[in-house]
Amino acid sequence: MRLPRPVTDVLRPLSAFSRSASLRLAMLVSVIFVVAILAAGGVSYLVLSDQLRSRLVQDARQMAENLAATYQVAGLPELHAQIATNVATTRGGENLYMFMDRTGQTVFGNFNIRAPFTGPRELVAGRDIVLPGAGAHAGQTHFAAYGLRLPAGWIITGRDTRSIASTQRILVGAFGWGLGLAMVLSVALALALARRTEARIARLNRILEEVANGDLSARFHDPRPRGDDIGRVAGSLNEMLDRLSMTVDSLRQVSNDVAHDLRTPLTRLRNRLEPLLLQQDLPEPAAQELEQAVAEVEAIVKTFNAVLRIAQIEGGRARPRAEIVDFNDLCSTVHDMLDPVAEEMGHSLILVPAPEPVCITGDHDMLAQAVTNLVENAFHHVPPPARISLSVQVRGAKAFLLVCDSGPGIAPEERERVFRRFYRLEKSRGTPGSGLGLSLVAAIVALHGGTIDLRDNNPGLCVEMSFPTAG
Amino acid sequence: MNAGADDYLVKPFAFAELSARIQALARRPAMQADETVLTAGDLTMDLVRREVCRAGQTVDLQPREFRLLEHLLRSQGRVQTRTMLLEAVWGIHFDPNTSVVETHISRLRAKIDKPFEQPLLHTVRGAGYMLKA
Repeated sequence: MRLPRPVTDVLRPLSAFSRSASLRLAMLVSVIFVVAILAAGGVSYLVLSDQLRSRLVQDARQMAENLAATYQVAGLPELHAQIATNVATTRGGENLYMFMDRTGQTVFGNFNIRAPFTGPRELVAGRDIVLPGAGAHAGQTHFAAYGLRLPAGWIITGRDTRSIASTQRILVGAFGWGLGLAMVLSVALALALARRTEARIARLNRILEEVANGDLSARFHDPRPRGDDIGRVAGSLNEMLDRLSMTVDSLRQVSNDVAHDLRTPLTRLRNRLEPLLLQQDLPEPAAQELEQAVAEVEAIVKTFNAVLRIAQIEGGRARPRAEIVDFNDLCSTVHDMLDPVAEEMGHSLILVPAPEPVCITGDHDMLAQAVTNLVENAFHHVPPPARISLSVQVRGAKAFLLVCDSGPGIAPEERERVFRRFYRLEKSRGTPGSGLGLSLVAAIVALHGGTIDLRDNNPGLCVEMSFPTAG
Repeated sequence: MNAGADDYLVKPFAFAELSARIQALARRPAMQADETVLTAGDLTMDLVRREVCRAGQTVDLQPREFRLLEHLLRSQGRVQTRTMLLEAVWGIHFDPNTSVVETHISRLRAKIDKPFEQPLLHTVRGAGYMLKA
């Protein structure tokens, strides 16, 4: 069932989230960061509120003590005058001042209280105290109050705690903005860092894929080398690839050396046998044996030559000639050469040229060898009577050479392997050949900047080579 | 080849190949650009009319058989190795994995030798082929 588009759009970031470890890590760090900021903010809120409250209590106490000092120095009338002055100058009823005598009869100040007390206390307007002249809006106002016991009565003072609430509001507001900004910054930074790490990991992954596809020369190049963990992994990876390609190279070198060193004595052997063949007086069975022996030696030399030729082409030592090669021409030469052989073996070889000349720049001889090799492969591996076609096609800026047969084909999982040197399919062990043909073809195609593909011909095998066209 | 060499062989080569090539060079006749008829015994090849006759009978040859015979006629009396024939007739410098030369020679032989008593096309064991009247 297909999901409607909006749903998949919503799911996409989620799947990116689950696929990327660095993105998850970055997000986790962001969340932890925000939680830490919230905890720090909460603690400072509590500490600040407590400090403000105790400072107000201190103020109230100081006010009460000042009034007590006035009373002790100047007596009750002066206290009364002082309280009246204080009450008159307090703005908006911010401060509370009151004196109550021992009997509770004489009270002056700007509020009333049922029972006097000593020490710090929180007073709520309307509940604990009565504020004369204050409307309903003054209700629920909290005061940090302080009561002082004098021989003559009590002095009770208080300070409005609304200043604490407004400071708290400012704090919460400032904190909210700061937290928002920090969240945006941290998420953005986390995303950027995750992206960067992700890009490097993606590049590492691409290198590994290239290596898996057989390109051992792929290396990780960091534009800004860092000695961090990914940099170190990349370094070890490069080192490992260096060693791997060195091992592969030396393995290849060994086979080249063997081919090179054995070719000369084998040629000498053939040169010793050949003059014997020219002797007219040799008995016929001996002459035939000798001819067989020479042919065998020649076959071995040919295999070694093929190994060295592949090494030459792959190693870039064989420079292809840069001539204009017409594929129609090339295929007609190969067809002309191999058609009687096909008939002899019971096959039919069909030439399907393109309507117009199809030209590429390359080496005629090498390309002819590649096509010949492929057609001869079909001769050997397909039981007669096989229908083998040799076609030239052009699509866009690409020229195609196709060699298709009606034989058993190659299983998809085997297709990559047949290009390996000396690799032979199990069913082909009995047929002639060295297992080098396709390696040589692949090397020639690669040298010409082309690609080679094995496809199913339903039934049979289709080898498709494509090259950039000339001009 | 452009520097003035007439032929070349890549090491290591078969002795028979070397000797056949040296002979081909040593006995190369002067340039005969205007030659229009080639003969060997009772075989004649008219290069202008693209006709081949043996003992008065016309022999019908395919273009590739004609080219092969022309080359053998031009180098008659000298051994031609398989690689020399591949180079001369198809212009290729590699060894196919099938008996290309043998097949073409046997087809040519069937047309120019088989119906007649005296063979012209000889197999030189271990070396190649030679046309000789």
